[in-house]
Amino acid sequence: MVLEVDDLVVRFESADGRPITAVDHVSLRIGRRETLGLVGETGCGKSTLARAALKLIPFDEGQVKLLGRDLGDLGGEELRSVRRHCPMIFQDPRGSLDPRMTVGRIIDEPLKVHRLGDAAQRAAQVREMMDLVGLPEELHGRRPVQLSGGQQQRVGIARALITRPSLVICDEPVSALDVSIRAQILNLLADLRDTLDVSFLFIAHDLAVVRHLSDRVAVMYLGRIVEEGPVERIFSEPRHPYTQGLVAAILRADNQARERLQLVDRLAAGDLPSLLNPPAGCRYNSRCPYAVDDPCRLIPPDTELVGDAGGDAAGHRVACHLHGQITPPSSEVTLSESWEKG
Amino acid sequence: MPVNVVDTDRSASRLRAPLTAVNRRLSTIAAGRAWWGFAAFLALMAAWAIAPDFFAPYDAERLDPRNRLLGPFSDSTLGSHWAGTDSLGIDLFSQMVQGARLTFYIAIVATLLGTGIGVTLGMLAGYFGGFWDRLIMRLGEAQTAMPMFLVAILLLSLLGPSVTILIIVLPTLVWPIFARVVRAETLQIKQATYIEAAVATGCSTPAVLGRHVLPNVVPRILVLFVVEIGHVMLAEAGLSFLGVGVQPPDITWGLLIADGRPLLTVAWWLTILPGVLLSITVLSLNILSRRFEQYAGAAA
Repeated sequence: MVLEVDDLVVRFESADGRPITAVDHVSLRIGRRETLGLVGETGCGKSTLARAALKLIPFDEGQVKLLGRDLGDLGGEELRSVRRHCPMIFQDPRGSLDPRMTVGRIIDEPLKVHRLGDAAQRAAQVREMMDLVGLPEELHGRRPVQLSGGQQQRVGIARALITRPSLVICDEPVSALDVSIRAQILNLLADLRDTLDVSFLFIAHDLAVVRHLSDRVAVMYLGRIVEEGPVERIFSEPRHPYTQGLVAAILRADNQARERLQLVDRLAAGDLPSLLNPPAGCRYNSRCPYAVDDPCRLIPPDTELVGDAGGDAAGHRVACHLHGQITPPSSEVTLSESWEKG
Repeated sequence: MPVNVVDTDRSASRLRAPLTAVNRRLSTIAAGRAWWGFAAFLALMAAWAIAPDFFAPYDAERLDPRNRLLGPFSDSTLGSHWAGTDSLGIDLFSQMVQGARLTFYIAIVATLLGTGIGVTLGMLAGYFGGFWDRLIMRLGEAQTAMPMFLVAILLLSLLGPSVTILIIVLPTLVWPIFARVVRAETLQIKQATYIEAAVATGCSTPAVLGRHVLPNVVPRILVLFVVEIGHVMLAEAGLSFLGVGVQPPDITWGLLIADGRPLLTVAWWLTILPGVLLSITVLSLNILSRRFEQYAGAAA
């Protein structure tokens, strides 16, 4: 396992001093060369989860192991040296690059920080990496403001990969990009995933984006993971009503678009409740069309394995009291058949 | 009892209000083409400071009692004195040229020291916040609230006036300004994703501050540095004028002004001409810093 997160809890204090549990007993596993897609609405805690898993922000409970090393015990110098194995790619490509540094220096910085190689070796590695992510050599001396959004994100990717990491955290890497460039960056990431020995934690608020890249998908809602499983299972047989809504919300041009949008309206009506005052019981009950008073509004659901133990459904877990009783909407509306994996 | 910061700020801005028109006028001058003239003037002053013997027509230490207190544009047995001579018959223009070196030297070194202290403390205050922030900023405020000029006079009269002591005392006048500006910039930069990216990369805190925060506050520091040279120059002139700054036979413009003061009614040029020189220099520094600021603003 590259990353093992167990029962992670992250609490904040709101401006008026009330406690907020942004990440609530979350467990995750990412294996070698595996890509986990983490999906959820803005504000559900997915970025917080990723940062806490790298100990970029402190966590309150639980355990995080990166490459078998417990991050909870590490501090200062040791924690800094671990960072070469788990770099991050950010949502805002321009903001994540120091405006006063050149492209070459930005990509070189991780090597310099971790003292990997002498100046000549590093320069060769930077050139090689620029080539790998599709950055023309003449950009080496440019500054971030002189690049396009897509090129900026390529610099971010090159910086992340230059230390040959085991795990790369991608925090919505394409959300800020134009649609035309989005596909290029996603294809680049898919190529890198296939050619390099690296795992990805891929965060997005859009299931369609995650589908391109992920081996497994975890769906997060209000600080908890409500469903997790192999990517094909999540798309073909979503068990949690929230996941069903997300899958139905993927834009497709076909003759069932109207029915699907109505379904989205029914499955994920209204807004994300405040983390300051989460609903009791199952946190989704305020928006769930199936919710009943007992047990949905009383008891938080346990995470249960669904489907067969092995095969396609391996590790498909869902946190819903009613997951066996509600019919997957795929019987009424086509959710995934016409959707080709890119 | 806590110091009421808001009130002092407000009264200060009320005092400054009539100056906003001047302020705007200076910015207009800096934005136009005239700034070249001021830059050229500063370059000439720098040349005086670097090679005074080349520019000074006469020896600034040679007494000539026969030609005492000659007015501007008068001639002596030596030749013409377009700025006149002083009570010992020394050519005033030569003295002004010779005074440029020490005037600039003290102002630049003292401002550099003040900048170093202010930038370091401001960055620490802004980046770490909390206790250090409060400690550093209260220290700066306490110092700003105190009449530092009086403290400088006290120190200099206790320790005896010397150029070294002057260079140690003058930075205390300017560091709080740098600390305040750099702290504000740092607070903003700290929020930037590239700082988070640096931490996620594994940069140590000194590396984050030195490699990412400092280069991004430099444009602001540069602008402030140029203005503050002017302020320090005025402060040095003030201290020298009061007799606790530079001592003869060293020459600075402030000292020339002080020396001419008792003779103001009989030989006005001894006070007015070095005064005008000092004023134009400070004005030029101000205009140049505004030009920098506008340039940096346009580039960002």
